[in-house]
Amino acid sequence: METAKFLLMTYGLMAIIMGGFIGSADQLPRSFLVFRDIGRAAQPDELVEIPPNHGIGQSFLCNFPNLSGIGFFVSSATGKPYGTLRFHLKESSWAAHGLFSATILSGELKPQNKPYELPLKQDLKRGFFYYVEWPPLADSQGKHYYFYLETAQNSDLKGQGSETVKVGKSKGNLAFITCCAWTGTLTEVGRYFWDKLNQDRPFWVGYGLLLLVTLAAIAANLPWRHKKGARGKGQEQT
Amino acid sequence: MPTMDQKTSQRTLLKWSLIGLAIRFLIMPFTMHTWDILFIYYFPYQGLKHGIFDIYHFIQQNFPDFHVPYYPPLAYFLTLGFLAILKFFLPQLDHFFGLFETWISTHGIGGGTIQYASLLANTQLYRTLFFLKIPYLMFDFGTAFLLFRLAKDLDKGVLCYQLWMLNPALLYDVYAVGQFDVIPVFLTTTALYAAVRNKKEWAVIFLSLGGLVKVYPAIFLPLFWILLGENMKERLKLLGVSLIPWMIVLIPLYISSNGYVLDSIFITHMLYNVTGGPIRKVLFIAGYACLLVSVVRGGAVACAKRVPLVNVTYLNALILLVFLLYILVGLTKFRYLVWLSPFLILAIAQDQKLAWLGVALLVFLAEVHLSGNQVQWGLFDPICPTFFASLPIMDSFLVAFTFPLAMIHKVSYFLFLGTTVVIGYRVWKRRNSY
Repeated sequence: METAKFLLMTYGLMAIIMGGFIGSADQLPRSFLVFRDIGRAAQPDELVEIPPNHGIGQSFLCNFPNLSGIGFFVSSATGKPYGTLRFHLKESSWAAHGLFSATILSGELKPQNKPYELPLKQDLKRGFFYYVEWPPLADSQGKHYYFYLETAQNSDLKGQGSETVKVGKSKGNLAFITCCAWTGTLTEVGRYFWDKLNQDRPFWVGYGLLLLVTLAAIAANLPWRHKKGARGKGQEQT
Repeated sequence: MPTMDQKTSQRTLLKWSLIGLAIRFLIMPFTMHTWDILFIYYFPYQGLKHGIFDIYHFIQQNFPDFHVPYYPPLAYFLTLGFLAILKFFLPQLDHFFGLFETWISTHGIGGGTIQYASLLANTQLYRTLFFLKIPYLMFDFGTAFLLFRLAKDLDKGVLCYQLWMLNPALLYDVYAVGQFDVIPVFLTTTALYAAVRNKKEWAVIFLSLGGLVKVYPAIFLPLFWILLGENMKERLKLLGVSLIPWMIVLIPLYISSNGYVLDSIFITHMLYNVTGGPIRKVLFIAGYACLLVSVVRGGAVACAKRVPLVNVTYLNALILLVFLLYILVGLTKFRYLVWLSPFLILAIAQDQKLAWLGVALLVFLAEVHLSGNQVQWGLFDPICPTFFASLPIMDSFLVAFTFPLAMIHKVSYFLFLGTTVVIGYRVWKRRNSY
């Protein structure tokens, strides 16, 4: 009996802790509140080289607002590119202007510790996902984007080492992961939930009644009610 | 401690049934895991819509690129039956599965819970999740009732019932994720009940039926043939009886689907995900063979001593040991713990120290396997997809503050293996105490 009560108390405590965490979630650093949209942290099918002064690109459709980062698979066997790797994000491959660019120096191209990069990358052999991040693009939902990687050779160090970056590809596409940030408030979460509830009121009325009846029945069957009843009966009998 | 009387036990069971119901109702409408429950019901939905008996041939014809086999035939027919009734409560079911169909035709079976929760947000998602999980309650409470009856006395029976009502593996796998593992669990428990009541043929039939829902109950058939059959003739008879459900169901489907139905049983290209590589398979077979030898020897000893071997404790111990062997050498997932949970609960009723070991097992395996948002906060994506999908889990903080997460997971995994061995040892030691 005690085991069961212990389990029930544990569930109650977990519910309180979870509720407390959710209630304070909007106080967390925003770097923690990121979710993955497209892609999985899975081993790509093949590795391809980006030769010096060349590029490789990928287009995608973003499903959610606040696109804030992309991770692409880099081979561990990437030689140290004696130069730089540049990341560009545009609205399409022919767009004149880019939305974001980043320069990744050869010493920076190594595994990072991102809180949203779970499950663990231990299943990733031969490489890792490298994430480039930027301020969230609020209107990204339903939009197409194009990102590409290009290597720029350092002419001073030409010929002094491996100058290629190897990236992963799966089913013909670059192996990549898109990340979106949650920038809302708990009020917005509540409002979203309330809107969805309102779309199906008959169900919620029925569900609410069912839950109420169940809880009332539990209350009616609590021990104190029966002990009181038993005492009353005993007294009558004596 | 005074033994409970009949009336008090009935009242206690009622109270805990209501508590169990309340917990389930609170979880059911708000949780899902990727495409699990959608995949389970999508093909029965097609079956209902088009009047299909052989879903395997239908999949072969209409979804040739599908690399995921559907579940065994009885799973299909049961969910078809459920949906035939549930559809009256789900007016937007066509819209619901229409959107799912459009998604999989573009993206295949992929995507996370956030994608599906967002896609289906305006199709009475909460109502659909709630009603699709309602049929599981029958098997859930049926199992609880069987555990109550299998226990030795009222006190232990009530304990088993309570633990089942609060079973975290069950609540997670069935009501949060939406899988139907409770059905083969119910059938395996019924097989144990029938065996203990000396209904030998029914015992093997229930195991066979369980194997036609999800394959794993079939692994106990050799144990049951040897244990329940008093001589070779009877064992062969039980073998024959256990094949009857498979022949009735599989032969017509094999013919009509050109053999494609066998993929649902042998799941060859996915078997690795469940059993692991060759070494793990060999270890499991070796361990299982040792158990069979012990059963044969135990039968001979019991016969010599003129004592019954088939009793709840012994049979339960054997079933539990097979499961423990699997989770020790196979590729187990957290939600597979629901398979062994009724048998562990029965063992806990005999040896209450096992309760703490059971909790430890859950905790260590959770640390190893529940290591992503989708299997934790992400289950609640239907409430608000982008919010719950972005919530960090404990491991997220460990990663961000450069704790050696891989090491923590390795240690948890070894602790999990150690706990499994300790549970197995205690169960083995007490297998003959009745």
